[in-house]
Amino acid sequence: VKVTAVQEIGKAIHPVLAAGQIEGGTAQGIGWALLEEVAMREGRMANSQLTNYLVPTTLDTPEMEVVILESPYVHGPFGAKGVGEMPIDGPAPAIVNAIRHLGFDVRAIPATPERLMEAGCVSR
Amino acid sequence: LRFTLNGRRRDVDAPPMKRLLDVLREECGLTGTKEGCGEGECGACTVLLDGEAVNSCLVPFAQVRGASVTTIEGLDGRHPLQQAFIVEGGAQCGICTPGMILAAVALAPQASLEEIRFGLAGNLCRCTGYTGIYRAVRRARVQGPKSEVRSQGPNGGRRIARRMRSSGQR
Repeated sequence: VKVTAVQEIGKAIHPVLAAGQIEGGTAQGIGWALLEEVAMREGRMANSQLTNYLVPTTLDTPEMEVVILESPYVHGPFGAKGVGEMPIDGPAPAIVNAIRHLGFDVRAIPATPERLMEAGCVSR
Repeated sequence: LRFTLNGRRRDVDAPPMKRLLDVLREECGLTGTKEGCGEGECGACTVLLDGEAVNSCLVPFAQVRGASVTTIEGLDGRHPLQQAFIVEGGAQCGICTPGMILAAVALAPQASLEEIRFGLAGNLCRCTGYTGIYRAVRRARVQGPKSEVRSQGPNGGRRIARRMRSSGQR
């Protein structure tokens, strides 16, 4: 599995750090898509430990390629736009679409094994 | 209780069941070792104990009697891995960085990308997506044999390298 993340961020003032923001946001997006379930109980998060709220480890994070499209933005400082927030948006739709393409009618994220099992049973 | 800390012999008076993490930060004043989860899940508090990467939040102080402990301060800021983490964007917020670097020190010198991934799987990073960290580890290795811990304990870094080769990853 490989992820290619393409972002148009205006001018990349510090390309290493800009790529780092994209890589990190992409990994968080992957976690959001597949692992990071928040369970609320009586108004509180019931799984507020790393034993039960799973964030991606090295073994959960696939190879990533980052493509930075530069097109300097006249209203931004030195031509820059933002880069911190956008990268998290892409992975979940892409992953869920890929899963749906396999015939699992997933309607919520994270697409945990339990949700896939449910979706698989309903479709049969 | 006597042990070797970053190559120097220390005699520290602390309760035997106190976490090594707290002894390092409070008694020894070495705050480079970070507390993340405090339950052995995140690896932020990783130190080297006789060359092996361990979570210092899970080690009672009594267990380090006579042992050699290496913290991030022991790498002196000039270790090739530290320099490579700066250049390659291996660090962002910095909480995982000391533990991540020490876990990387414990890797076999010629570890493949898959072995690096496996060896660092106990260290969570929320910022980098790990990609910059892999670049940094590989860059440090290219820069030569200095990417071992030296002068820690009786056998220096060689002991670490041998052990990691023979036992695989952590």
